[in-house]
Formats: sequence, structure tokens, C-alpha cells
Amino acid sequence: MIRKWWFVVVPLVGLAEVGLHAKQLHDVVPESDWAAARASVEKSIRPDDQILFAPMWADPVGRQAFGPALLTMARAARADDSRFARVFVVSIRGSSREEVAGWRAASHERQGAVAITVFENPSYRKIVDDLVGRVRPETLSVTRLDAGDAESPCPWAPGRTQSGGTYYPAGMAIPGEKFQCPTTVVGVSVIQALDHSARRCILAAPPGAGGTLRLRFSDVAFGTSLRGHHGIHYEAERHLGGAPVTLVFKHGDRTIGQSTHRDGQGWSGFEFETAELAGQRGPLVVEISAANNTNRKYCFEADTR
Amino acid sequence: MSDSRDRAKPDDLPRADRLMGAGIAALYVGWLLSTARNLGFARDEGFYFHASTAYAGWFRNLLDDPRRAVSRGFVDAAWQANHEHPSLMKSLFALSYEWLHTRWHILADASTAFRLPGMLMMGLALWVTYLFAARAYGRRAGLLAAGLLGLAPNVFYNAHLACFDVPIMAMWVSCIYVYWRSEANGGRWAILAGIVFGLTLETKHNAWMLPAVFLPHALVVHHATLARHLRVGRVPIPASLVSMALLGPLVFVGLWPWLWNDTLPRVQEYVNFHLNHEYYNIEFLGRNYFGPPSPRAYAPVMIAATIPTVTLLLFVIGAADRVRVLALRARSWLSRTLRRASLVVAPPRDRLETDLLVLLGFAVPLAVFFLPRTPIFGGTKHWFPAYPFLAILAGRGFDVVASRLEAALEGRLEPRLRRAAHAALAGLVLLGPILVTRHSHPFGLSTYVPFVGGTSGGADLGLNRQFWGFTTQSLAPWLDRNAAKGASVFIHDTAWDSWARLIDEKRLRPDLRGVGTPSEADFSIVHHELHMAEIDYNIWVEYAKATPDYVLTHDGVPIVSVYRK
Repeated sequence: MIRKWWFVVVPLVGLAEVGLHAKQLHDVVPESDWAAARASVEKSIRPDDQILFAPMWADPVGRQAFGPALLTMARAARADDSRFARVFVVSIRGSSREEVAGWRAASHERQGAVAITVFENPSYRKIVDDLVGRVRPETLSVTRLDAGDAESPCPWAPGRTQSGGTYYPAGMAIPGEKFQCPTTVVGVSVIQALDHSARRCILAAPPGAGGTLRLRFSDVAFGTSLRGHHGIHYEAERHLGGAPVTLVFKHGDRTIGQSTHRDGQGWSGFEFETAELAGQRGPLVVEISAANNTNRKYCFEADTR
Repeated sequence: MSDSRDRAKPDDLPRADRLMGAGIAALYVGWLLSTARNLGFARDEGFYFHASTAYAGWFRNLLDDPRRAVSRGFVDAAWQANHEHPSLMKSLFALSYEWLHTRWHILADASTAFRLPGMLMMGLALWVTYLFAARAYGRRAGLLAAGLLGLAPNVFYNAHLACFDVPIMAMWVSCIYVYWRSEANGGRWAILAGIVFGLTLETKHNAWMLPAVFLPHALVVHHATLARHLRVGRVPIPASLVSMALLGPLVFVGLWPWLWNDTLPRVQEYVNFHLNHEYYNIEFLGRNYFGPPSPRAYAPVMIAATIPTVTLLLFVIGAADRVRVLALRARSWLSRTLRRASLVVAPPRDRLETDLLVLLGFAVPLAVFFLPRTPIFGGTKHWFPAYPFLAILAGRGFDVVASRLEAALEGRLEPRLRRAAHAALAGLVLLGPILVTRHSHPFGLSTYVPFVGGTSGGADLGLNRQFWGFTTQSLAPWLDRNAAKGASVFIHDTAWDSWARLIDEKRLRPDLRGVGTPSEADFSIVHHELHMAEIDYNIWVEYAKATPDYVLTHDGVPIVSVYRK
């Protein structure tokens, strides 16, 4: 029987191909479902909640549908997840996000083809102070130390943002609001991390030639720890041959901690204990250096908790 | 299955078949022409528009003052443009542009004139595929082979373009076809083989792999003669191969004016360019590849994800059938050679070894994509030369299936109903590929077959969604409604020549101004490719917001995001 009729599989596959195609067209999520999902999230979201879209490729559609009031820069280009108390995963096609794997789902609802699941973050820690928000002349001064320890100021030099281009790679955006050093700048930008994710951070490429970039943040509110992440722009880090970049945090004469970023680590985290400073306000010095600055489009973020 | 179908019949194809093949080709070219206006310009097309315009100027000079036109200064000035690729197609683009658009005004859009030779090449590919399959395996194999070749979204997309990938596919199958005919008929076919080989070299560098098809095939076909002659100290070479060796380089250099001066250094430069080609970025299974080693799974996975599944199933059936026949012949030959009795009834001998030639024509263009240093940035288009043979084997697969249907229905249904059953079988095979291909336009590169989930399934798998920035034109309706008069647009991956033509042909509103950075722009666009996420983030910094104002999608999958300043 099978030997005689095996060929029937061909028209069956043809038929299945037509049926699947029709189903896939039917399953496209309408804008109205995205709008309904937005309205639902709007009702219950709090400032320290995050929104993630799943699958990842739906992110642009989700960002458009949810708009700038919900999809703020801090949410879209998040430095890390631990700063968010809850995460709203807005998903289609039954997808989820690996960031919330193992987290407890507090609620779940559907708006047409869009599912909204609210997860409680088991490692949430409230931010006391965020250095990324302090990159302005009132709260930060920047200098460059050359190899002989001569320190020269890097003035605040607001101008136009430099971004984009029609040839790849364009590199990361040089923000208009920045401190200008002879071979580098300091300002808030968004990095394409090694995993292609967007990370809002302080662009602070090391000056090279044995030099160090020194950032003095004033009046920082300390908590029990200082934590953060650093990375190098995707196109520069992916070649894996660049000089390691060292990041040092100091308070007065004391070194709070240091972390070295090596190519291939991607957007990697660090955390230093600051229990003795908890509840105090004061200066925080950040020093960035590397043996050379070739292709070192370095960016970091740090906050106190 | 009759014995006659196991043998190639290169000489007895009725005129009706030639017309049928030509009819399919004509219909398809008509389809391409009718959909060309909807498809924006790929990055490389912009470069070829520019080069072809320079070549058109040279052709004008050639008519006005031939002596001056062939002087070194004139030749080099015109043909330096895009001299890393041979000139045949760009010359045809230039001639079509000069005559069909500029002089005779037959084609209103210059771009359609540039693109027409590529579309005609697709017609040639369909026609030759039909002829090859029909001669080798019968009419219904020919019909299905030609139909299935054209009914694949990636092929349909590329068939529109003023590029070389579909032309080299056409020339690859044509060259092998002519060689096959020359093996049967010799004479003028052998001379033609040399000329066509030269034209194939002059189309794209894939042609340099053709000896890997012809030499093993010739060795198998002529091994007995070769052995006999070698014993007496002679090396017989088939006329077609001699013709290719002699005429191929002559045609190659003769039709490429850039090589008329400093020939050897320029050939060397051409070879070096392609042997050391830059690795562009391409996403595959969620990872961005930008250098060696290339993943070995790339070609098989991309073929499975972009060629309709029913076509691939027929290909597997057809290929298995021909491999089985080849294996039986090989076993029989081995038995004869070792003078051992064989219980196997060998299939009739095919002195042209057509099955072997078809399998080589399929395998050779693909083989290089299993090498770790072969760049994979072209998506599927770089192995298009394999596709006519994939289609021929799928046509053969259909023939096998139809024969089984015949056998199963024998005596059960009256002839009229049996014919209807055959038509239904063909309809069920072709319907899916027709619907998927038609729906894919103008997002052929974003489309994946239903069995992998369609466009969104491809996105789930992390497969490339587009390249070359051709989707800019699809923003026209939104920009018409939302952009103020004279608004500036950051064009991202759109080539400047492509943008200029979009404006020239009013595919985008002519008052819109293209600019090279988001900071200059009222609107900034991002063509979604994994490695180009940096442009998205650049715009976020520039415009201090992370939410696009519009996202162009295909089946819900983002293709281009637009941000308003």
C-alpha cells in the first residue's frame, strides 16, 4: 500500500504549504492589538518597571506602538535589569524573553494576539544615584592625565551630535552634550553591545599613549554598593584584538574598586561594596585607561544602590 | 517508468516544446516588468546604474567616432567604473538604457531599461531550464522545472535587478546545456560552447567554476576513448572543451574593453579582488557573521528556508531517482570492468551521462559554500547557478510522482478523470510557490517559506531580513503623508545613486532631500539588519527618543523604522 501510494505525500506537502501560508498571513498581529496592549500597560506601569517585547525582532513595532512616554530611553537602552522592580513582557507568537526566565509571573492577560505578563524581579535593588544622569558640568568635571601625570582639563563643549552614516560602520553616536578632551570625549550615548543590545552609558574612550581619563563626579549619594557595566561598541570589540580598558573608582584616597574590560566580554558587570559610605554624599572619581586607544569605543555605566 | 525516460533525448524535442518554454519565459518576464515599479533599488544596482551610464557614453562615442572611442584614454575613462566585475551585463544595461529609454522612449523609467537585460536573462534561464529538463526527462519535467525555478521569492526578487546573479544563473545553465548539446552533436554546437563559455566568463566570476563541471563529466563520457588514445600516446580532448579553452578567453577579453589595455595586470587585479573579497556582515541563526570561518550549515539551511518545501521535496525525489540510476550504471560498469557476473539489470546506457552532468551542474556552484573561507554575505544569490539544476531535478521528481499517479489510477478512472488528476497534482505543487512568491513582493529577501514559519518564522530563526537598502522605496506612501515639502531624509543603507534614481523616477517625492547623517535630517530611516542596530541607537541619541514614528513591516516583521526629528 505505502509502496504504491507514497507519492501522495507530494500533493499533501503542497496543500500544507498553502494552508500554512494562509495561516501565517492571518496570524499577523493587527495594530489594534498593540494599541490595546499599550492601554493596558499604561494603566498599571510604575516608574521603576521595565517593558520588554518578545520576540526580540518585534521590538521596533512595540516601541512604536507604546510611544516615548512608556518606552523611555532608560527602558529601551537599559543599563541592566536589576534596577527594575517588575518587567512587563509584551509578547506575540507565544514568545518570551530569557531575561525573565525563572522569575515569578505576577499577572498575565491577553489583548487579542498580544500577551502581557508581569514578572517580579527577584534581584531588584533600588538605585540611590545614577552616574549616567550626572554627566553635566554642574555635577561632573573631566580631565586628562598624560603619561607624566600632567593634568589638563576637558571643557564642557556642547554642540551637534555626530551620528550615523551611509557606510558601515558608522560607529557609536558622539553626543552633542559632552566634555571635549584632546583625543576623546565624555558624554552620554547608546552603545551597540557585543550582543547587539542597546545600552545607555557614558562614552569615555581612554586617551591612549599612557594617558588616563579622569571623571570627578561631585555630590554623589552613596549606598551599600557601587555597581555598573562596561563594554566596547560592537564593531570595535568583535575583532577581539584591542587593548584591555581599566576602570577605577576612587573616593578620596581610597580605591573603591577596579574592573578591566577585555574584548569578547561584551556588556559586563562589576560591583564593589561601599557599606562604609552608605547614606553619605561626596565626590567619586572614575579613571579610565588603556595601553592604547585604537578602536577603543569604550562606554560604562555605574550607579549606587 | 519507461526506459525511454532514462535516456537523454537531446535531438528530438518538438517545436511545441521550444515554444512552450519560450512562452513560460515570456510570461515571467511580463510578470517581472509589471512588478518592477514597486521594487526599490538595491545598493549594488546604484553602482551598476552609474557604471552603465558611463559605458553608454562610450557606446555613443563608438558610433560617432570609433577610432577615438577605442583609444586608451577613452576606453579607460569609461570602463574604469566598476571594473571589478566583467562588463557583459553592464554593457547590456547600458545599451538598453541608451536605446530603449533615451533614444526610443519605449521604457519610461530609466531603471526599467537598466533592469530589462537582467529580466530577459531570467527568461533565458527559464527557457533553457525547460529545454534541458524536457529533453532529458520529458515535457512535464520541463514544465515543472521552469515553473518551480521562477516560483521562489529570492529568485523572483533578484530577477528584477540590474545585477549579475540571475544572469550568471542563466549563463551557467545555458553553457552547460550547450556543452551537453555539443557532446551529442559536435560541430557548430562545439563552437557555440566556446562562445557561450566566454559570455559566461564575461557575466560573473562564478563561471570560472565551470571546468569543475565539464572536466569530470568529459572524463566519464570519454574515458574509453581516452584510455585507447593514451595507449598510443595521444591525448584526445572533446571539441567543446577545445573550443571553450580557445574561444572563451577571446570572448572574455574581447567584450571587456577594460582588459584591452594592460591586460595581464588588470586580469590579475580582477582575480585578486575576488580571491580576497571583503567579508560583509550577514545574520545567520541570530549571529552576525563578518569573516571566516563561514558556517557550513549556511547554504543548506538557507535553501531549506527559502525554496518552497514542495519544490525541495520534488528535488529530493528527482535527485534520488537519478542517483539510483547512476549507481546502478556504475555498478554494472564495475561488474563489466572486473569481468564479474552481475545480477543487477543495468538501466540503458546514456552515452551523454546527462544525470551526472545535471548533478554536477547543481553541486559545483554550491560546493564552495561548504568551504570555511567563502564569504556568505550574498544570502542565497551567490549559489543561484545551482537552482536551474535543482529545478530540473524537481521536474524529474514531478515526473516520477506523476508516473506513480498514473500507475495507481490505471484501470480505476477514465482517461478524462486521470488527466484531471494530473492537472490537480500539478496545481497542488505549483499553488503554494505561486502564492508565496506573489505575496513576497517587494520583500523577497525577507520572505521565508511557510514550513519555517514564513517571514516571522525567518525572523524567529534569526535569518537575514534584507540587505542593500532596497526597501527605502516602500516608505513612499508614509513619507507622502507625513513629510513636509523639502524635508530631508537620512537614507541609511540606500546607495546615493539608488536614491537619486528613486527621486528622478518620482518613486519618492521629488522634493525630498537625501542626507548622509541623522543630524542633518528631518526623518531618519533604519534598514533592519542585525549589525546595523548601531544606526538605530545613533538616532536615539540624536533625536533623544527611542520610539520610531513608523515601522514598515512585512507580515508583521519590521523592515525599516522611520524616526521624525
